[in-house]
Amino acid sequence: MSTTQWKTISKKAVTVWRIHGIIASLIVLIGAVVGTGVIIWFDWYRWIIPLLFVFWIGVTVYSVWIRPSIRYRIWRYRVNEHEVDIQHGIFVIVKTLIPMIRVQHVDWTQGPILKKYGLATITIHTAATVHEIPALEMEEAEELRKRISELARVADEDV
Amino acid sequence: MFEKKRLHPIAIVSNLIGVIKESIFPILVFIFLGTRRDNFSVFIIILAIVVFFGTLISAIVSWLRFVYWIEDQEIRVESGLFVRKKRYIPFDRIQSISTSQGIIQRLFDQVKMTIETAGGEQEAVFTAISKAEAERIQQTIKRAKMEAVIADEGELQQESDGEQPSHIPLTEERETVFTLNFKDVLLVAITSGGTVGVIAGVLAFVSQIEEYLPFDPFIILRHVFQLYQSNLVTFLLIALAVIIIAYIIAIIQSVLKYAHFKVEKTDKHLIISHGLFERHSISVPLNRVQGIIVYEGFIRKIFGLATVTIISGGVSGEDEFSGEVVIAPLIRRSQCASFIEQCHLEYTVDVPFIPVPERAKIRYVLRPLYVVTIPVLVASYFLQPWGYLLLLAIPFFAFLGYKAYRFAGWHIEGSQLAVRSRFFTAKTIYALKNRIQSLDVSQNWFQYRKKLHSFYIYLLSGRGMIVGRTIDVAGEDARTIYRWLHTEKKRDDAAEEKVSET
Repeated sequence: MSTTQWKTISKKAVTVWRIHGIIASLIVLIGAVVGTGVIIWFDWYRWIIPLLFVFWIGVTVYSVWIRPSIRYRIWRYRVNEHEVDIQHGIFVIVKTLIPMIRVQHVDWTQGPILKKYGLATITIHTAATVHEIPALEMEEAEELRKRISELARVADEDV
Repeated sequence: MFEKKRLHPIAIVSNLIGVIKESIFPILVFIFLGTRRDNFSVFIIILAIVVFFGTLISAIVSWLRFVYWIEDQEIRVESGLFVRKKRYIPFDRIQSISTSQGIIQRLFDQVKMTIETAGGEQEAVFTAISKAEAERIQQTIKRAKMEAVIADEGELQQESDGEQPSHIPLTEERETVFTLNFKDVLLVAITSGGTVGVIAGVLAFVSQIEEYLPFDPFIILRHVFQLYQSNLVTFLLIALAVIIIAYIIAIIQSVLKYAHFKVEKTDKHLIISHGLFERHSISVPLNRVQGIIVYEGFIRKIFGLATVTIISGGVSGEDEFSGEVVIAPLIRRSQCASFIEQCHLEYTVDVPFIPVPERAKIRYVLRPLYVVTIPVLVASYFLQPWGYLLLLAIPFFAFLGYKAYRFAGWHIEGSQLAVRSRFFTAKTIYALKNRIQSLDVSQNWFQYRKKLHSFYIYLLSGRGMIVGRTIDVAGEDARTIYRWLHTEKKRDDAAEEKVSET
């Protein structure tokens, strides 16, 4: 049935991923500062220090500005009775097909940042693989979890 | 009816002990550091107290947050301290429920119950519930499954297949479908790539016990390097000797392993046994086979020889073997088809593969060079003058890339998908549609410009997975494969409708 349309995830995902990016950037910054300290303390090559900060700037620009918006633009999913389709990626675009009969169970998870923005993530488990649909509106996520679980049970078969 | 329940509070203690067990090493380090400097120790003690209470509170809140109940043919678990999680497991996906009792559980007459689904993943762990409650849950699930079976008698067969223990009844008739004679075993040994494995193994071992050795391996390395520079002939002789010794060890290893190799077939199982001194025997239920793989090693391929394995999904009870099981260490490639048929495996081995398009050739030839060029250049620079010979590795790897290009391909026939790829070893995976767990079709920017895609199929193997792939297939081919997996149920539905009409 091709009636089902591709859906995008919540626009707020960009914000959430930016926050993740900021956290990653902070961790790298701490690493760079500690690294600088160590280099000065042990009197190693000083030219490594600017490299550390260039690396930090690179990580920050990529993970706070570039990555979230590209990722959001590419992310989409589609659920119908027989399969779940997911498209994601940044430099490599990956389209995943999960036959409904292979779905074992579906998890609904919500971390503190997602909670603040009223979002939740759906994780689909098959016997061998795990797939994620991140940052959906909370109710939408709950509905999707229910829907996939139900469809997966209808489409039952031996593993 | 659907009363949400918590675990017995003793679960808190049990979880705490788990946390402490995991972090015992850092704790010891802290205590050790703390006792060495006095002014430091106060800080350490305060930190320890904070950490302890933090863990305690989080254990308590985790316990409060963990609720489970049974509703609508599912066992439902909600949990999570910071990350909230809902996991609802349908009864019919549950493959096994096991209970165990640790010391703490025993003191309070509780049990730890673990629910597993296919693939052997531990999907839900109930750290402490009463025996009666565990019994009640198991009964509920069993009853619900029974009812489902009665409701649909057709499923009875499947259900009993799934739960049949994997040992084979002795009365069942066995038919030998494959054996190796001693000559074959030697041939397996001689053509195997075990030499590299032995050398790598010795190197890994040396690096592990380096500090206990009476000599420094780096000094030896330096001597070797000096020898290379001063006396090339001796160096080459020693190198040759090392390789020959490793080769002989590899041959002995593989003779020991594959001696008396035998595959037997019963109604529902394949039984594989092998080994000279240590006999190993594995029985794989045919209905758990997820796919087959045909390997053709670099040397073996020249002689038209291959190795065949089956992929077994899921793990039940005692047999803890990993997913892939060799069913023919050495077989003529041309005989694979009839052998597979003899094993009652429903795969068509000899199929006309669809190659990757011409425009992928250059990508295939260049791909190995991205990895090897720099190391080869560096090595040839440092190992002058003879190091320049190493430069020959570059055309050799390009040649391997070209071979990979010639070999890569895929084929669909009915409900079977075959994919093949090679580098040193050529690998062909055959899988049936209803065993493919998921499919990825991917495209990067360079592929986009050439209208190429890569695709990956994921199969269950033991507790893990096996990935089959073909890189750089034409766009329309990728779409064909995607659609092939897409349309599965629609055809089945149509068939069902026909049945119900008659």
